[in-house]
Amino acid sequence: METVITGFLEIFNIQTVLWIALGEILGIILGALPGLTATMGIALMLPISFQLSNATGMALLLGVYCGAVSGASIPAILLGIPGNPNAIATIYDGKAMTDKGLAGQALGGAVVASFIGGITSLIILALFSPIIARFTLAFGPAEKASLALVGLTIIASVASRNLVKGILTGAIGLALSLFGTDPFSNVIRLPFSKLFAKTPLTSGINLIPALIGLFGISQALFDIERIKTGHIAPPQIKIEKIFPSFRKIASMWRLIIESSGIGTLIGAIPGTGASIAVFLSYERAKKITASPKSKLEKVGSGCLEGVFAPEVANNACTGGALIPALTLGIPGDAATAVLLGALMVKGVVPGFRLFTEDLSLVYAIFFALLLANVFMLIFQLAGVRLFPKVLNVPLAVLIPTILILSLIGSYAIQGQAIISATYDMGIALGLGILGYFLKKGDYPIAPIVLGLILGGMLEENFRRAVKLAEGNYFVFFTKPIAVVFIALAIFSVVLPLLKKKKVRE
Amino acid sequence: MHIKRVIPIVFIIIALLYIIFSFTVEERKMIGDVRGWDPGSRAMPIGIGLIILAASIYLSFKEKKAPDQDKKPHDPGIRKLTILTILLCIFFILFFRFLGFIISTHIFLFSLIFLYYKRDIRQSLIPEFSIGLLTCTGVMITFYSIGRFISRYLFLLGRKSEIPVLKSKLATAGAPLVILVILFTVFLIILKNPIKRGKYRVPFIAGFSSIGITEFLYIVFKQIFLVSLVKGLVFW
Repeated sequence: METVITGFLEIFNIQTVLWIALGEILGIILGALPGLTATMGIALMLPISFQLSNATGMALLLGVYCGAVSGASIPAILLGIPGNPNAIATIYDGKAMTDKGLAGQALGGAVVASFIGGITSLIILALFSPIIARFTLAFGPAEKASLALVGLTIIASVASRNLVKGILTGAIGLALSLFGTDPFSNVIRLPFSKLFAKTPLTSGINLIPALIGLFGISQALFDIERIKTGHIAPPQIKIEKIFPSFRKIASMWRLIIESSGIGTLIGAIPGTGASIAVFLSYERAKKITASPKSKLEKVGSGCLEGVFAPEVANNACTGGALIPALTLGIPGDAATAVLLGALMVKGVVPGFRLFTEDLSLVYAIFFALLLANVFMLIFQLAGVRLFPKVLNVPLAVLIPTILILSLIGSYAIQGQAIISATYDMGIALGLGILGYFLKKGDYPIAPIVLGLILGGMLEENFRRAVKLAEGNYFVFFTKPIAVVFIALAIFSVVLPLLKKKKVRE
Repeated sequence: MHIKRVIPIVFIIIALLYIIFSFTVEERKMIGDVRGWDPGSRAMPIGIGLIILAASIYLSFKEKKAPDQDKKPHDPGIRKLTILTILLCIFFILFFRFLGFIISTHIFLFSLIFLYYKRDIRQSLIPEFSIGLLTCTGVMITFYSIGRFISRYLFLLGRKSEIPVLKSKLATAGAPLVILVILFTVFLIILKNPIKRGKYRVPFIAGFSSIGITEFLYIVFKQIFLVSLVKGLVFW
């Protein structure tokens, strides 16, 4: 009980509440701007969160996360362009409702749906994560190394249509994570090691500048192409009747429960993310409303049901994605990978240790997620007429702002050590350029991040496991849990190949 | 050649270099591993290098066979803008410590916003760009100096009068922010018509946006989070 109160107090103080509110507003703005993702928003806020306490920093990032996932529905409904992939399925009925003159109801409905999804997934997160975390007690080095392998293979196979591209970028992430100094023997592992021996690079590639570069700078460079087309201003629409009636919401109970379940479950599977969950829930809602017994309006005809289903599901992913991140150290999607990186940089180790030694932080994260969802509801409903104006921000100002925020943000992480901080800017830029070219070539970025995060865990546990097994490399096949993980890793690689073969046939 | 075909070839070269580098890493076992059971410092890098090599070779063949279905015509203007952006980022990092935060950030932002608004980059833009940049840098330094003076004055006042609020971040960061926002708004109202009229529209937008963003970043990172932003040429 004491830890619950400590966690509560860490969030419900003026400073943290204000940071969550700020994060929420920024998140909604970033989410509403087409092309800018929740992951990028979190990456840009990392330097600020780094200056705050663990709980307050995480609260700020969770505010951005929830706001960005929910804010993406604004351009999807008004313009028919999703703010980010999480709102792809909201377009169909959302835009149709706008065309019918029901933009207010669609925007309000999307907010309420996001709130319901977010809260439901939070309850599931709070109920199940301690149980899963307890399970990790049985993990030794062999199990941990296999778990890291599963995380990498799943994200590599799901993040891209091309499995090999996913594997390649995951391996690049691993290669980058190995630069620096060998954790066991202190050997410097850098090309031209004599040249770089006295530089900050000997401590490896810092995670936060890498994340900022991969998600912030690469996206900004990628968006330069959109400058020629300019920004698309929202149409002048009267926004009325925002809040959907309670009776209408209650009538959609089945759709809400199923979408919450789909969102949380899909979110909890590493590498999947909200873009898959929204389509699944939309398709499910189509089937429910198409039934002759159903009294609901048919999804696809421009109705609230078609907005509710994907919006419940995408925000349900937020809590779902945190389940494997907090308990196993394997993020559910790219955004939680960045959240996980923020925790790990501060020395917080996910898993059972987090749930025993730092339980108050776990509760603080739960309370922060609760408050972030409440703020999302309040701010989005209050600003339903205001936030669409964000779409007027010209790209010519937005892109340089993102670039400078990324560079100065990378610098600020080690802001007291000027030389190291300048190197960090270089790392962010280098990885930003790499991310840009990979995006151009249709390569996924998320596996690089996971490689960077899991590289250390994989190497340390792999070497420890082999050493403990007296040099036996087959030790991974002698431990039941490790065998399950390896089977899962093989399954995650083979399944997409089989699917592809079936499609061809 | 299309970028999709170039990337795997580049990765083959990188993978080969990485494998060579991995073999040059000093082979040392884990501290305390007397029997030598630890796979060693080279094992993982070599393994990963081989995976990158295999995947890139596979992709280089696959992308070669793939039809150019999604090949869009290259826009030379966009390519120029992208290259210039990357060059400006490199310039920013290289000269950050010499020029200092205020000047390098301002130049970076002004240049990018100016170029993005103009889109079509020509030599004839140089006079407009140079005059705009010089004028706005002057305004930027003036704004910075005013803010700096206010912060210091408040801090000294707080020390002398022993009013702790004046020494707090709220006063030293908040007061300059409020005053600068007021000054900024007044300037904007006065200059609204010249901006709209056209000829100097782009330098005005670029200048004011860059001054606003630079000041905001300075207040957030330097005055609130006490990050040691380099002073450089603006040493006061």
